[in-house]
Amino acid sequence: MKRMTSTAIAPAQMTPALPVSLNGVGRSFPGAPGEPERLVLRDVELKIAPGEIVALLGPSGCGKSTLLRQISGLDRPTSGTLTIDGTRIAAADQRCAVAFQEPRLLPWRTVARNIELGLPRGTDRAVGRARVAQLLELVQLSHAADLKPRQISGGMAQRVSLARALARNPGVLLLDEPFGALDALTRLTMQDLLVDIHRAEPTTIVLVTHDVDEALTLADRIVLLGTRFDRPGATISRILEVPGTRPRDRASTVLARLRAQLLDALGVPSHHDR
Amino acid sequence: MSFDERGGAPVSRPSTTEGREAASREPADGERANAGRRVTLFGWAGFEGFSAAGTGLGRGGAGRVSVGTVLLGLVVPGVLLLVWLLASELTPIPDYLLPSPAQVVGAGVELANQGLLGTYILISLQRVLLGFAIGASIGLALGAVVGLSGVADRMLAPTLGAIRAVPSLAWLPLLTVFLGIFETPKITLIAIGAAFPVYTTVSAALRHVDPHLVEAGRAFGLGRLALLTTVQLPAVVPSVISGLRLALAQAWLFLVAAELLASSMGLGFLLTDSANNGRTDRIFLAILLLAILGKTSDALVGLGERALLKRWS
Ligand SMILES: Nc1ncnc2c1ncn2[C@@H]1O[C@H](COP(=O)(O)OP(=O)(O)OP(=O)(O)O)[C@@H](O)[C@H]1O
Ligand SMILES: [Mg+2]
Repeated sequence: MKRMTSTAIAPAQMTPALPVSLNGVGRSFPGAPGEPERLVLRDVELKIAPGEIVALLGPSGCGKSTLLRQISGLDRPTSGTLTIDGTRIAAADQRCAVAFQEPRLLPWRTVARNIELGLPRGTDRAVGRARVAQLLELVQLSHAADLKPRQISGGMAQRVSLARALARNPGVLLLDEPFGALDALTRLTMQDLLVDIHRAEPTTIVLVTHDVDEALTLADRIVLLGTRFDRPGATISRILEVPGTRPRDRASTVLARLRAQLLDALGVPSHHDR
Repeated sequence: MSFDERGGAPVSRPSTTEGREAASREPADGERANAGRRVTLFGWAGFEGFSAAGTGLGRGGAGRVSVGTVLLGLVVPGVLLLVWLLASELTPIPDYLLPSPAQVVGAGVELANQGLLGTYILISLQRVLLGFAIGASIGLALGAVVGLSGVADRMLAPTLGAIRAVPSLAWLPLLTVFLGIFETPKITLIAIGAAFPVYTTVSAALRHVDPHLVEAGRAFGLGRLALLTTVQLPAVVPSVISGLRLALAQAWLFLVAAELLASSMGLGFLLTDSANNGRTDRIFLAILLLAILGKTSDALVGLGERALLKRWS
C-alpha cells in the first residue's frame, strides 16, 4: 500500500492542536408525552491533551454520537460543561470540524464543491481550490472531483466527508465512525492515511468507532462508554492506554491482549488464550 | 416585433370594427377603447414578465426531446382529429353542434382577418404571464417566510389557509368592485390563483429540508443567510419548480374564469361570446387554442425544469 509522504499532507496553514475538557457532562432528552425524560449520558469526565487521538467505543445507541455533538457545540449538555483550549464551547464551535456518521453531502454539489464547504469562511478562492485538490488526492478521489454524491459509492462519500472535515485544519477533529461504510481493505488504507495526516499535522482527534481493531490501530487512549445495570445513562466505564507509537503493528501480541480485554469489557467473548 | 404593436395595432384598424356582424359581440365602448390602451400599457410590463420567466427557467435550453417522443405524443391527437373529421363528415350531427375541423380553422382565419384572434391570444397570454409572475413571486416570498420561521408559520399559516379555502371565483365580484373592470382585477385574480400552489409547495419543502444537511451546514460555519442560500434554497429547487408548474396551470384556469365572467377580450370572452351567438366553431377554436397555449407554456417550464434539475440534483 502506498504511503503518503508528509509533504503531500502538509496543510496550507497550521492550526495548533487544542485540548478538550469534559466536566461532568450529561445529556437527557425529553421523553414521549407523559413519560419522564430519558437520560442518555451522565457524568462524563475526560481531559483530552492537544494532539491526542481518543477513540470512543461502546455499544450501539449508548450515546457516542451524542457525546461528539456536545464537543462540536451542535448540541448542548443538560448538565456539566465542556471547554476547548480552556474556553466554553460555542454553538457550532468553529475550532472543531466534524465528519458525521452519515456523509451528509449536499446532493446538488459536486464532490469538490462539497469539500469546499469545509474550508474556513472567507478562504481565498485560489487557496481554497488548491487545498481541495490536495484533499481530493489525499482521500484518493481526484478522479471523482466533478461527480455528484449520487454518482459515487457509500465508501467514497465517506471519504469526501472526511476530506471536508480536514479542509479547515481544525484544532479538534471529530470523526463519527468515519470508515464505517468502507470495505475492509479501503478501511485499512484510510486508517493509515489518518495516521499520516495526524503525523503531518498532529491535531486533536476524537474518533467514534465500533471497530476494536481500528481503535487499537489509531488511538492513544480508548474510552469505553457503557451503562451500569443499576442506573440509567451511559458514562465512561473504562479508559485504556494503547502502548507504542503509530504506525502500529496490527498483529502485535500486546495489541492482541488489549483486544481481548476490550472485547470482554464490551461483553463479547474473545476466545483469546491468556 | 414588440408586444404593443401586435396587441395594439389591430384595435385601431378600422376594418376590425367594421367587420363585425353581431352587435352583441360589440364590447362596451369604454372598455374596448381602454382595453386597447391597456394592451399597450401592460404590453411592456407583460413582455418583461415573460422574458424574465423565460430566461430564468429556460436557461441553458437543456433537455432535448427526441423526435420519437414527439411523434408518439402526437399519435392520440392525430387519432382524435381523424375521429372528429369522420364524425363531422359522416354522421348527421348538424354543423352548429359539431363543426368540422375545416370550419374551425375557417373561424380562426375569419377572426384573424378581423384582427381579433391575435389580440385575444395576446391579451390572454399577457394576463396569464403577468398574473403568474406576480402570484408566483408572492407565493415564493410567503412560502419562504412561513417555511423558514416557526413564528411566521404559526402566525400566518392559518390565515393563508383560510384565504386559500375561498373558492377562486368568489373573489371576482369583490375584485371588480375594488379594482374596476379592466386588467387589474383579472390579473389580481390570476395572481391569487398562482400564488397558492407556490406558497404551499415551497413552505412545505422548506420545512422538510433534511435536518442533517442543515446541521452539517451549521457545523461548517454557515450563518442563517448562508445556510438559506447554500443549503435550504437549493434543496427546495425541485419543489419550487413543481409549484411553478402547478401555478401556471392555475393561472390559465383563473384566466378563463375571469374572462368568462367579466371581460370583453381574450379567449375566455371568445368562449362566452361564441356561446351566446351559437358559434360552436369558435368555441372549438378557443378550446383548442387554450389547450395549445397551456401545453406550450407548461412545456417551456418543463424545459427550464430539466435544466435546473440537472444543475440542482
Ligand atoms: N435528538 C434526540 N432526541 C431524542 N433522543 C435522542 C436524540 N439524539 C439521540 N437520542 C437518543 O440518544 C441515544 C444515543 O444516541 P446516539 O446516536 O448518540 O448513539 P450512538 O452511540 O452513536 O449509536 P450508534 O453506534 O448506533 O451510532 C439513543 O437512544 C437515541 O435514541
Ligand atoms: Mg452514532
